[in-house]
Amino acid sequence: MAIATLDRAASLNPWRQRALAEKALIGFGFLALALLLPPWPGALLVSLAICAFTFFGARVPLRLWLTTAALPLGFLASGALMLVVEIGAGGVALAPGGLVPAAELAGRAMAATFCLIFLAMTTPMADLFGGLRRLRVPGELVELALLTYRFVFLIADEAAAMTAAQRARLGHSSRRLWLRSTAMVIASLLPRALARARRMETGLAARGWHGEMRVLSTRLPACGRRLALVVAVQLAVVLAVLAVVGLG
Amino acid sequence: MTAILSAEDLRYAYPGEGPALCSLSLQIETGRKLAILGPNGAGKSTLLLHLNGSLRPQQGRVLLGHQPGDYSRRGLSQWRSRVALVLQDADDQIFAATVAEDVSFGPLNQGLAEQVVRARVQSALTALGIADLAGRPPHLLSGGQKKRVAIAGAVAMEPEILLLDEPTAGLDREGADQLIAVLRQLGQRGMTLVFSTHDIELAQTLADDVALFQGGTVLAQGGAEAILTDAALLARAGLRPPMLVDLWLMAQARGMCPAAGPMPRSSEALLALLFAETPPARCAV
Ligand SMILES: Nc1ncnc2c1ncn2[C@@H]1O[C@H](COP(=O)(O)OP(=O)(O)OP(=O)(O)O)[C@@H](O)[C@H]1O
Ligand SMILES: [Mg+2]
Repeated sequence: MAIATLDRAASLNPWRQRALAEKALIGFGFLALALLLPPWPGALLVSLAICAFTFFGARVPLRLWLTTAALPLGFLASGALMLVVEIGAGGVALAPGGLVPAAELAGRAMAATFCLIFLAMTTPMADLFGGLRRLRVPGELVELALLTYRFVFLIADEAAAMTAAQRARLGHSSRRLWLRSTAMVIASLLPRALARARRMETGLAARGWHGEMRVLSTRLPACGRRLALVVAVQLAVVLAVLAVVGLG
Repeated sequence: MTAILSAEDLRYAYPGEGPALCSLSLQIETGRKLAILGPNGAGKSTLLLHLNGSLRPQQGRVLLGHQPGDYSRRGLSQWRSRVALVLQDADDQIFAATVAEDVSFGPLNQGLAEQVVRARVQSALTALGIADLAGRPPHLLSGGQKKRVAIAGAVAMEPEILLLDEPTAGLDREGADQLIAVLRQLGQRGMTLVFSTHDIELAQTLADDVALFQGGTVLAQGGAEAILTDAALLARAGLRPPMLVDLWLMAQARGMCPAAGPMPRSSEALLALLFAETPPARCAV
């Protein structure tokens, strides 16, 4: 899953036009619940709620969502497995009392992952940076983040182009050649990136840049009713969890 | 005609290299379109970087009107408001998260009010024909689209002079044609254009004047017609006349069209010259 694909999906999502505050309340609000509520049944309810917003609200295509979620969920599963099993003198065995904490941790992490995926699929990085600026995060930090973000794409492009060029000259035809070629890409990526940064400095200076990256951003007003609806759903989740925990 | 920007006897060498420019002089005249024409490595990009103060000559000077270039912070800032530069690689100039935001960067740096900037962004995007891309992230655009975003970013600053490094490099035929049309319109609005290229056909299509470059200096500067029809001169810069000019000169030599008159700038114009007497019935292809 390339980061560019993710960003493209986000900028084409129907909820792209929604106010950042609404999406942040959903994404970060449920994230907080996933981390704070007892994992049973908190993680389950949070996952259900955030998936409802993702699929029925923002209409994220299921296939795209699955390809995005596959990697983090894979990590999660293998991580949880490590907690469950124990390798000792007698070979591989279930860790005593490992099952419940592992399940709780995995559930919590999964719910949190779904929340972040919701944000990633509805909000291009661009909008997030705009939001940070409005929240009065120091300008230098936002600019640094923005330039880093731009550079990730430039360097990724550069690396992709170099790799393609090597492949065209059979640089990847065996494992040894692959290793050598990849080492070469990594070695020349830094000088290239630096040369690029220097050219970019010239380019921005030509546009009158003197240290501050100011751009006009469009602001979308948040809708009070939708915010209230989100808060209501979140309250319902909290109450349901409390009820279940109280009963048990 | 008065020069609004000129270079006098410039010399510049990159650290640890031979001279990239040597005793280079050049005049840019108000309201005209000048092609900096020369082969790879001739020093075209290096010259453009001098013309907006990005590089400082080791000898000689750059003049804005009659004033020598002012390399102080304030001086550079005013200089770059009047002389905008579009680099060859659009990725070196585009950084913001959306196209419209990116285009707003230059005018905001000029200290303009938000309302004015909004209007400038809108008109620059419209002029470049990319108003529909306003909300898109630049890194998801095609090369030709990015190029136009970069040019819009310069145009929004409403400079007197627009410098473009290899404006059509990397564009397909259609993209290049559209860009040429846009540049012509900017020229009609009174903007002075300077573009570097090794593509003699582009120089012929677009330029009023040509400065012929070779080995870090100007071999000749003059009207496009005078330079582009001088095969011997072009050969010294490792270039050949455009095919259209070749055909035109051959037709003249054979008495197939008038021996004088303006150089044809398109195939249609040449065809019209060739068949000026014979009505186009039989040659209307
Ligand atoms: N950053 C640099 N560091 C060192 N040398 C450079 C640098 N940039 C250009 N040169 C050298 O300066 C000379 C002129 O280069 P320049 O880029 O101005 O040529 P150009 O006419 O723009 O060529 P092209 O058509 O290939 O863009 C070349 O010999 C080149 O190798
Ligand atoms: Mg160049």
